[in-house]
Amino acid sequence: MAEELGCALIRDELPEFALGVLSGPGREIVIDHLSNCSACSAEAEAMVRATDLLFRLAPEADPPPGFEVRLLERHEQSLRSRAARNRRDGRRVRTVLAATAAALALLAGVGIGMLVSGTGPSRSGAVAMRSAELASDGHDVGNVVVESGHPAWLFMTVDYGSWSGRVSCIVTMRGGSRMSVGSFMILDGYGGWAAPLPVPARMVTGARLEAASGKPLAHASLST
Amino acid sequence: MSGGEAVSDSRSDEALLAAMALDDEAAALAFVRRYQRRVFGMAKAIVNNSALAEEVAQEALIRVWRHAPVYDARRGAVATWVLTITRNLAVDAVRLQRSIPAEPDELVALGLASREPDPAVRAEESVTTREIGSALRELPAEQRRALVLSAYYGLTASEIAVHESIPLGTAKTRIRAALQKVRAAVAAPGGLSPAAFTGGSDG
Repeated sequence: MAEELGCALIRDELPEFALGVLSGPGREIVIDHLSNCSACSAEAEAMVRATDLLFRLAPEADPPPGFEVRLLERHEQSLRSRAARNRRDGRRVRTVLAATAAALALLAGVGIGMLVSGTGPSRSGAVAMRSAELASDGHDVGNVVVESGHPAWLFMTVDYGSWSGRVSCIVTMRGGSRMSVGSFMILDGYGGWAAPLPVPARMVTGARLEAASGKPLAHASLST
Repeated sequence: MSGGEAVSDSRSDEALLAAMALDDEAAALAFVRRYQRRVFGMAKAIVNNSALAEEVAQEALIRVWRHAPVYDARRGAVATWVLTITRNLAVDAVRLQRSIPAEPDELVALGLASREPDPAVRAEESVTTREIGSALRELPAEQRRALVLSAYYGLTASEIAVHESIPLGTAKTRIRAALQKVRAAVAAPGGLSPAAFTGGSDG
């Protein structure tokens, strides 16, 4: 009954979804539903096809002379701006990682200090870090770092083309079980995120990113 | 330059996009020449200003180029994706100036009048385009208006409700009914089905 009600609500939104005017949380809810409901998904596909047809009526007109030349110049400029931004972001990521490492070293020092002085919870030793490349179709699209501690932490940086949207981070654990540890936004290909882990760091063997639709985007294998 | 005549590339839209994702400039140029008349035409119809339309069209094609690696065929045809990007940019641009740039019926008429009848590769498409044009003309005026406002001007049902001074439910019903009739008209054997246009109630 609840499922039927969900379908009825979703179908109310499908025309606007197909026409590309549904945005924000509404669009995410529809995409989530479609990934789990074949009946609504078939209905959505039919409406998207109708929209495809409708766009064939879009009026045509010759652009002004020089349009192509200006477009190519603009693309070159866009590439240069992007390269400059990548260099800036690279410096920023290195700064963040350095600051993270420094903070963790400080935490480790405090922990050891607490152990030596006999105050606070005891710790078994220094913080350990493991890192791996985040890969998508064989391409490096970011980095994952898992830190031991109480709690353990996961850090992630992403450079994924020009894709934008909310992604979920799923960690894989020894034995193959998986657990979602949160979600974050990727904007124009870039995103950075950190979260405490509900399990010890040593249990984590990998991490993956999934789009709101459940489509896998990238994964990382962490050596143990 | 006018569209398409200078360079002919027989690759599909999807193949050109895949090559563009690998920074193949020749593929990008072929893609631009294939789409520039449609992109510029749609932008101009919405913003009603040549200079602004060129700005919108250029930005749309740059975004298509940049986003080529993440085009998802399951979300619709390449043309729809490209024209949706164009429409959204044009609507954003025009919202800074006026609420609705032109009468929806004028845009439909402009679209039907501006189609280039030939190239052989588009023969089948032009048949379907005529059917869609007929389907739109046969729709009850209020449904056609709601559908065009949403498809070409990017208005949500809520925005259409305000613009047309009708309840939200009525706006949603008009959009849904119109879209279903377009779909039914093209799916019907032999093209348009008169039955597709009965029952124009919009709740």
